[in-house]
Amino acid sequence: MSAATKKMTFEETMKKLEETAETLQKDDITLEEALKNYEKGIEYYKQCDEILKKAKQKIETYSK
Amino acid sequence: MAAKPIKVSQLTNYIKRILQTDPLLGNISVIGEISNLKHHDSGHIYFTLKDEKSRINCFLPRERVPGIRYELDEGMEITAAGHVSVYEKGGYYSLMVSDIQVEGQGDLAIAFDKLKQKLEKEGLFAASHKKPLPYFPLKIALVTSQTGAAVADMVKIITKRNNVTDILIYPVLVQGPGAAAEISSAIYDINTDFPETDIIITGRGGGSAEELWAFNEEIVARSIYASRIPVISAVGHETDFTIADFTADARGETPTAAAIMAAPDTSEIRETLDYLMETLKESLMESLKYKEERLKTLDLQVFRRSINERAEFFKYRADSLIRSNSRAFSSMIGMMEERKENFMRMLEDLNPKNIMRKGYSVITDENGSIINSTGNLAKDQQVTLIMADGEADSLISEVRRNKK
Repeated sequence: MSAATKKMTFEETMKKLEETAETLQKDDITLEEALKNYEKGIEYYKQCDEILKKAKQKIETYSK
Repeated sequence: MAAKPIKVSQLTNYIKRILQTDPLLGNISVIGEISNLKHHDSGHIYFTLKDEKSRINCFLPRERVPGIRYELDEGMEITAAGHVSVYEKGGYYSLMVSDIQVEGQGDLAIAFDKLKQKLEKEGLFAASHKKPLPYFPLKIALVTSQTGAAVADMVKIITKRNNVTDILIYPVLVQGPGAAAEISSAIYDINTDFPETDIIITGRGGGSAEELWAFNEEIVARSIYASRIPVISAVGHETDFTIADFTADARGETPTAAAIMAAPDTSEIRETLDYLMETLKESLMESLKYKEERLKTLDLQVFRRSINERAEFFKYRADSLIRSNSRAFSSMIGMMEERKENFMRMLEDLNPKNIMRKGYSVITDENGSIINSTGNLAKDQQVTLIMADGEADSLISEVRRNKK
């Protein structure tokens, strides 16, 4: 994962995933582009999946 | 005659000492109606408290103003706490105010409207300043009472919907004097000490107008406005509107509603995510299949014909280009010819022979150099006269120069 993608919020990553799916649906996409897009999509999916899988919710109470 | 006369300042000083040592006057609460309210440029506030029979001047020093929980207005009935002090120079006494209470529903409404107007004018409610709530917060801070029902409700809702987002409970007083100060400093502190927080929810469960009042205080509104982290206000029931609601980036009608607003449902997100992944896979398959079909149906004969057609087309275009260009060339050449002839005519006109035909002649010396000035001529000099049709050797008999 590059530094740039690491900084993306969950929402941004999910949007990117949506975009790659949309790009793949275009008729005029080249084979190379299609594969590249697919790989990117998988990467975005993994990032979101990782966050959801962690599920290490912490509940703390602040005390002065 | 009474006792020995004394100076004015001595008398005033005496009165002052009496009033200031009186245990009652040193700590007193006075109920009255505000009139002659003046906000001085220095930050001090002056007003008069009156009832149907009497009035007293009141002075609210600048340093006390931020601690006052209500916006003041003419005609409002208040309870002012403070002590009686004497202003020696002016020779009058006044109530030095340290705190103000407002209890009547009507008076609270006046204070509410006054603050609302003031902050609205300042732009604290501006839609352009409101920050969007992040879709998936990783940390939500709850600024509320630790013992109230609101905090339990919110934690329950968040954990039910979401097993990722962290919760930071930041306990504060939510009613009574001092509550507003705790709420506002909690909001400031979270911004500096817990900068990773994505959303702050501040609020409490239902209560009377007086119990909810902290969320109508100016310092709370200011801290919400200053917060870099988006704030959701969640005060009382859906019919309760507070100044905090107007200032916050979003209003939860109740604490529960605020929690739903802040925490996304992770199982819903999981579904969306898996659906997107499916679409991605299917789209790739579709795209590959489409390309394969196209390869299969590609007919070589058709392909060749189309190439030939294209070649014909290009040839035609090239020809027409050349044709139109040659027309342009010929007109350009005609123009050049014409210009050339003009030049030739000009050169012909300048030919000396032609000039000489008009009656001019040229004189040269024995070396053949042209003589164009009488200065180069002398008596008895041998020269040659050149005309259009021949030459004549001549002898200069006399030179007459023009006067300058």
